[in-house]
Amino acid sequence: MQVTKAARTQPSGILVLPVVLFLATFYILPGVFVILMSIGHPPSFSLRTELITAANFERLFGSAYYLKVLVRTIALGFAVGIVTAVLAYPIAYYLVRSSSRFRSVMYFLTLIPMAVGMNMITLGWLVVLGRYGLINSMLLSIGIVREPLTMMYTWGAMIVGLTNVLFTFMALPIAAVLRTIDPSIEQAARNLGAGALRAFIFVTLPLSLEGVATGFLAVFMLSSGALVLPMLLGGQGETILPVLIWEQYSVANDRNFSAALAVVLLFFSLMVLLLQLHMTRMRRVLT
Amino acid sequence: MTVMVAPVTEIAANRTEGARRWYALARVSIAAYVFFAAVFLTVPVLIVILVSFDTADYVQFPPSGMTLKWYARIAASETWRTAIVNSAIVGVGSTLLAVVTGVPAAYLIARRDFRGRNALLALLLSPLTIPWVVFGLAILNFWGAANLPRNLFAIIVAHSVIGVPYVVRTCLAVLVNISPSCELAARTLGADQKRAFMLVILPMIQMAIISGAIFCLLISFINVPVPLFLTTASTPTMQVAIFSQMLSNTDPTVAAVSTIQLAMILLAFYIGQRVARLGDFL
Repeated sequence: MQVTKAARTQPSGILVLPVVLFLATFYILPGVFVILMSIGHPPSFSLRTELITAANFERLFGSAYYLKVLVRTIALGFAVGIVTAVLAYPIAYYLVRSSSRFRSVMYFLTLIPMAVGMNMITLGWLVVLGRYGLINSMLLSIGIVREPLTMMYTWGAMIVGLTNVLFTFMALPIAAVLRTIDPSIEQAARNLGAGALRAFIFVTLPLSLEGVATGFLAVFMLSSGALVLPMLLGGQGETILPVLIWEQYSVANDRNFSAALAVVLLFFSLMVLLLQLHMTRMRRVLT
Repeated sequence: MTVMVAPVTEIAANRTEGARRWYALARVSIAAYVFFAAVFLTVPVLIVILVSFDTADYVQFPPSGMTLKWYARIAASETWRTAIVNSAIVGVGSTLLAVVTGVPAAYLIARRDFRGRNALLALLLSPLTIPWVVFGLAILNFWGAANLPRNLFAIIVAHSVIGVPYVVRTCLAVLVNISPSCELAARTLGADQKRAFMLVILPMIQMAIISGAIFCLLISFINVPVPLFLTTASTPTMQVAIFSQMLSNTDPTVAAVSTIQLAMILLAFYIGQRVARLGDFL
């Protein structure tokens, strides 16, 4: 009797119907359709299996140029991931362990990049790094350089800009893990004679690596999928996959090839997602 | 050397003069680094705000004078006004759609154990992982093949797909901590299921819903790639207009629109923090 009563208090399965229908139509179907288009299907719903071909992928993986773009995209993801991890770790540590009054201000500042978005930060770095920008006008007025330096349209500009945009996505996961580490563990190491640095490197850092890994995967994915900033701060020779997808669609107007490129990018992000799931499962096994 | 009583500081007191100098150095360098990071995070944003008041006809730094003419130009421009209004419509519309579809699903997932529950949750959260460029291209191709008109509704639908995970995540975080006995008590007292949800659960998760909604709104405002694919000349949106203006020429109008966008975002954040303690859900 009690069991059936409890069962009746459970909500009905109809509740998921709207979201499932919605996502099936406007999320799953478009995804399937872009995969179909990547293998040569024309942009219409009438199924034309005779047109199916691997030509787009052969073109992609057969060309040194496109392979270079692919490698560059992954390299950018790694570079931004590493730089962000190194820069954001001390700030995450500060946010968790400091007792300074500036801490809550710093927490707010850490949230800024996530909130203002890529457009505004890109514009900001265009002004900082530009020919008539902040750094050049400073250098010229001090007299260190006579001609304005070219800092835009470089690999460095892209890394600096993306590091800024994605700072929040690294700092928050690291801070979340650091918060779960009892400071007395580090204190124990100190009491046993380890210096502050030693205690940090051998005790706190290894315990917090999970947060770094989570942040790294997020930053890797977001930077290798970024469009706005690489398009404006990266140069002609620095094209990455998302920029190439947009160009193939809007400039070359090659719908099938742009779909193939999108499928490759999608494959990367699914790999990252699997890695993420694997990590959380590992943690569940470990604890 | 001063004599200290607490055991931990005693160890510190036993350290040499050199070690203590080392600690002072460490403190200073931490402070310096935090200052550097604060500058790094704020300067690009502050610069855009400053440039939006600059008198020069192109984007440069430092500003040569103060003016409000770029704001006046936006107010006078039909296109910019439409773009800003369109982005607001898209933001609110997609948020409502995401909340209406996402909240019931989160409730079911929290309350009932059924086959495929994890798969469903993975589906609902997966838009977080899909690059916006890929989704923009996919939904554009789909929209074209279905012969649907490329109006604001297309962008609303696309943005709410991206917004659903935020609503589900924040609601679920609160729902799993609400004991099912709350509904059971309401049911025992004679409320039917719908009433129990509306009068008991909804008030308990309203902060989560508001926070999730504000995340949706925010993501809708700052998303460029998806509307870039879907926007047409007749349906301009603020974020795409800013982006294309940055690509062609940059007079300070872009900075002024960005500043307006920032003000809208900060207002949403502030309201969210006051009304629903948004920060708790980060």
